[in-house]
Amino acid sequence: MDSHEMPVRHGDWLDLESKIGVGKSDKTSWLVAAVASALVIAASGFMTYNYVFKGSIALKASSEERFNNNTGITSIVNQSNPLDSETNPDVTTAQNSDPRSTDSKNSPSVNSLNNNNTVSIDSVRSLNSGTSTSSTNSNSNSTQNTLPTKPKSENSYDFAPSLTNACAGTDVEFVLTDGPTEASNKRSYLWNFGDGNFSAEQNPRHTYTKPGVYDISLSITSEKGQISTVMHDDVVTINPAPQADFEYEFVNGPDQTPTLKIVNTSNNASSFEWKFSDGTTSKQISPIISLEDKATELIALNVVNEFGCSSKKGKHVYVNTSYNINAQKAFNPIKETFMPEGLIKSKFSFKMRLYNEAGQKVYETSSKSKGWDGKLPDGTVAPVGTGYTWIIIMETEDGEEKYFNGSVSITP
Amino acid sequence: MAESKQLLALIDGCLKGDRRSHQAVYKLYAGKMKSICMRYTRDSDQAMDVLQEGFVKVFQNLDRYTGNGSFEGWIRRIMVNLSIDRFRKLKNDFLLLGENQSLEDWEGGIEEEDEVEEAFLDIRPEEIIEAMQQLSPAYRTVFNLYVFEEYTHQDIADSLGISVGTSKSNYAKARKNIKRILLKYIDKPNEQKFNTI
Repeated sequence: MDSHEMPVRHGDWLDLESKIGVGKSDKTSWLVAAVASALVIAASGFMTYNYVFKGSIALKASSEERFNNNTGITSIVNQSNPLDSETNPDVTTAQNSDPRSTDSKNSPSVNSLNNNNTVSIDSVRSLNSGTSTSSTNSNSNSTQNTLPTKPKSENSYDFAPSLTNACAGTDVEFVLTDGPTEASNKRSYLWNFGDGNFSAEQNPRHTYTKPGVYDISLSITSEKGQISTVMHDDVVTINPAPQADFEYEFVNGPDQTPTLKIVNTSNNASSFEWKFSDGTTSKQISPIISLEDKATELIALNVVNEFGCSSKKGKHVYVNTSYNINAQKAFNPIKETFMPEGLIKSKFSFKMRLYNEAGQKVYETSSKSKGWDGKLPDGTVAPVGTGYTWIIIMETEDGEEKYFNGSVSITP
Repeated sequence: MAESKQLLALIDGCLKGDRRSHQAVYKLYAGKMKSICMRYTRDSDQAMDVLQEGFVKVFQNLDRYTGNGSFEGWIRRIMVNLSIDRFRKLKNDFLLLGENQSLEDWEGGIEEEDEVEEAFLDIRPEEIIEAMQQLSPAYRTVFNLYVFEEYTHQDIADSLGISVGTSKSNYAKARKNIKRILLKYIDKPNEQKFNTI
């Protein structure tokens, strides 16, 4: 548990970076020209970094997808970016020395420029709908490039799901990755999850129940009544989830060790793991198990399918008979030895003693492999037809002693 | 336990304002810390808030890290302390918390005699986090501090501003509820199939 890790997005780092303000130089007020160029270098370095990082995600998109229409969009985006990062840092640094004047003059124009870009990209993308998932990647690339350095424009929005690949029945969260983060009662959201469900929350949670690949769109109505729509195709892939279940029945006859036949009734599963109360496990589809004592046993099944989706089911089984030692009623010393089947299967240590009708001990053993071969202490073999009494003392796991007794006769 | 030279160099880089060092430290620990923050919050949104605020604190107070103890432990303590602060604020907002908790206790269900050991069930960390997120802040915080931070009930009472008794009962109830959430895949033992021999 202590070493468990949760995925953290690169965007989260960018978000933090903007909060702690590393990389921003304090010397900006000294030499504006030098600083401006330094910032351009820093910004381009940052973009290169970001490109490389995002590239690792974009690797998912096949090379073929890179040469489709999206390449055009990406280039538009990338062209627009240097503009953003060049102008915007100026705005931010200017804010350090003289917040009011520059802010009111410059940023509205920057913002509107920005808005136009984003809106046009979005509309192009929605026209292009169904091209590939790489559209998502290229878009988040573009928005995240500008995210840490520019003051957030009002109408530029983007979002991301907490999971892009999930099992049916899992909650997926959607968060705004771009756009104003502070809450506003006047802003309204409409999410279309692509499966016929909608939400008006800012950061909704949705449970997809059916497998499929879903397109998600978000419409935001701003304080001023402007409606912006961001749409991503094939954002979330929902894989079918298995359903674990099983039935069982006792198949032992009277006088036999309680034996349970389990019938696996799971759906959509490709591998199975059973766990039983005694700590044993099985990977069989439908195992047959023997139970040892009057008790409530728990049988737990964990199934997994080819997508790595899993499901669990557990049931309690009541065993109403006492431990069955399954001793032979009679045996032929020439062919076999006397050793109850229940002892052979048992994992507990035991002592077994046999007595003749006069009550004299004729044999003693504590080893499964050393059953009574019918030999009496004087070396002769017990005669046919004679009967012997046996006593078994078994030590169970909790140190408790159990006693069993019965009789056995010698057959020809 | 002294930290490795590489890590100390990274910390030094952060102190000098190097962006890459900041990023490296973040990438090293953000995943683990997010997992911790998830246990203290209701969803990943809240967890991210704590995580980011925590890292801001980490970087702001980096000069206070002496280099003697474990750096991860130091960051972890910042996250946990933030979560405690958060709880205290919550508590002030909802004065009823602590008294009104019986509302969320599960009614009926499996009796405590259930002897299923957690180890037997092979529970994934994600399942525990999910279960903990369903608890009320009061249960969740006490459970976290007692189980994962190994606080005593006295420590918990002191840091959260609640009584030792409340801490104990919150812990017991949190444990019971988590167990029920984790075991919900097991049929309740009502359908009795007896082995009739």
